[in-house]
Amino acid sequence: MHRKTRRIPFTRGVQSDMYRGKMWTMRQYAGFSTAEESNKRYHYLLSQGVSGLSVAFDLPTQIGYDSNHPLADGEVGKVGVAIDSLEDIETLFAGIKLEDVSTSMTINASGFILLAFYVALAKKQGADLKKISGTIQNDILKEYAARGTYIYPPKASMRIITDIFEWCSKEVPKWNTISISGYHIREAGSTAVQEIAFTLSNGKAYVKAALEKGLILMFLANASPSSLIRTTICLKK
Amino acid sequence: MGNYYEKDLGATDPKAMMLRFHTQTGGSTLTAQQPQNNISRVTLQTLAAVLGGTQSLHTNGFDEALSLPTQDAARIALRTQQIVAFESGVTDTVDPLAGSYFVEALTNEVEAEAWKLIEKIDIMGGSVAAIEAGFMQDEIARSAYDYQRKIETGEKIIVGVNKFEVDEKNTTPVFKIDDSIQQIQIEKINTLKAKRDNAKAMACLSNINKIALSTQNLMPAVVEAVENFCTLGEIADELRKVFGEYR
Repeated sequence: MHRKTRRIPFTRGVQSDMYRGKMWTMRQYAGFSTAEESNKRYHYLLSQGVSGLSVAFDLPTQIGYDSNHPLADGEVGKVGVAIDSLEDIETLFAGIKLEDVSTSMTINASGFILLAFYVALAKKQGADLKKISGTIQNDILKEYAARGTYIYPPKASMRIITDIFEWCSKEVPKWNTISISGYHIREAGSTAVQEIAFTLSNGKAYVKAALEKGLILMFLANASPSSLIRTTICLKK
Repeated sequence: MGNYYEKDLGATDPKAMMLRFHTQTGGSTLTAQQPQNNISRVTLQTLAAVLGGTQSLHTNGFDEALSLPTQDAARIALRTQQIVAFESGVTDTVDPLAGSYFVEALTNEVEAEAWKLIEKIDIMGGSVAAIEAGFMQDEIARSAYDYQRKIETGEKIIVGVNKFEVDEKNTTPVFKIDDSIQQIQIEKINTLKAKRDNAKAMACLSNINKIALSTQNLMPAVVEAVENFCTLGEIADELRKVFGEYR
């Protein structure tokens, strides 16, 4: 079987020398309470050697409710940081130059708003948007299938997602516009086979939606669907 | 993987055929019982992620079955990655498991079964249709039930949970988020709304509404709205008016 590195289908890895050349990004998922508190944790993690930031948001932020909404009661800042406005995002990244870090944001239904906050802050910091890099999860299909933080019906959600693909390819070209996730499918109790099949199938749905919007060249050249796949401890199915 | 995007979707750039991926160790594998055992679980999963060739990795805190990670637990999680990266030697070889009969055979088997399932979803009309019909949800629920049953019958062993249990009180510090932070956030919103140009903010929201009804791209209007201090909830609500809510 000839499956060499750096050759299609890249079974051996996407770099020819893998970690001999470059270590993976140590990216610790963190966020809780207020933007002030989370900012302290990011600075601590950066001082301890993480190479990328990863933001966890609280549930109200994930489903598009401000902290003063009745449905937010008891959930503000609990499973992640509460973000309501541009000012909160400014506080969250205080002392961090967005041009110098890559930031992953685990955010789906309200991902377009968080992306807008991030880009608005980058502009305020005077950053070159062509250099800003990071990821929004933006994988709404697995929210319907497994995780539950959706807002709008599937077709409207797919329109928002393809708008993000199109806009980022022009305005923030280094941004990873989607991270298609198997993790939550597996965490919800699927098998490894289901995780892989559903994740790839979801990826295909996004690519097709992009193609239908006429984004073929931009999408396939700029943003190979990256995937968040849960590590399986045991080598059994 | 590369084959998949090439054959099915017409990708021509090899970069579009690469599966770049981030990995997170499995939160649901962590146990509240004997929480320090979770450090071993996270270590094994870190090794698996690296053997799998991940581009990026998050490791869970050992206390995450109890609460969000404390600063100390978050540090141990990061150190676990650093130990695998700099002490274990596993990074010196490209794809160290290459050629292992078992791993290669298992990979082929999983791939073949996944293909069958993907084809089944294709026949249903793709992911959106399969989700609308509840297919993925039902499949996952069935597997989850099966897994839970195996734990309950002892067919699957979870150390410290259904075997090797100890009777002990939890001594692991639990990270608590105070409920008062909601009040802090509410005050921030009130201050923001009092000082922003409200007429401008409202104009931004009605512009979002108008663009949502058209086929124009939503993003420029959303960026303009956040720059004029519209809140996350206001923007999400404006689109709720246009798109409705799911279920």
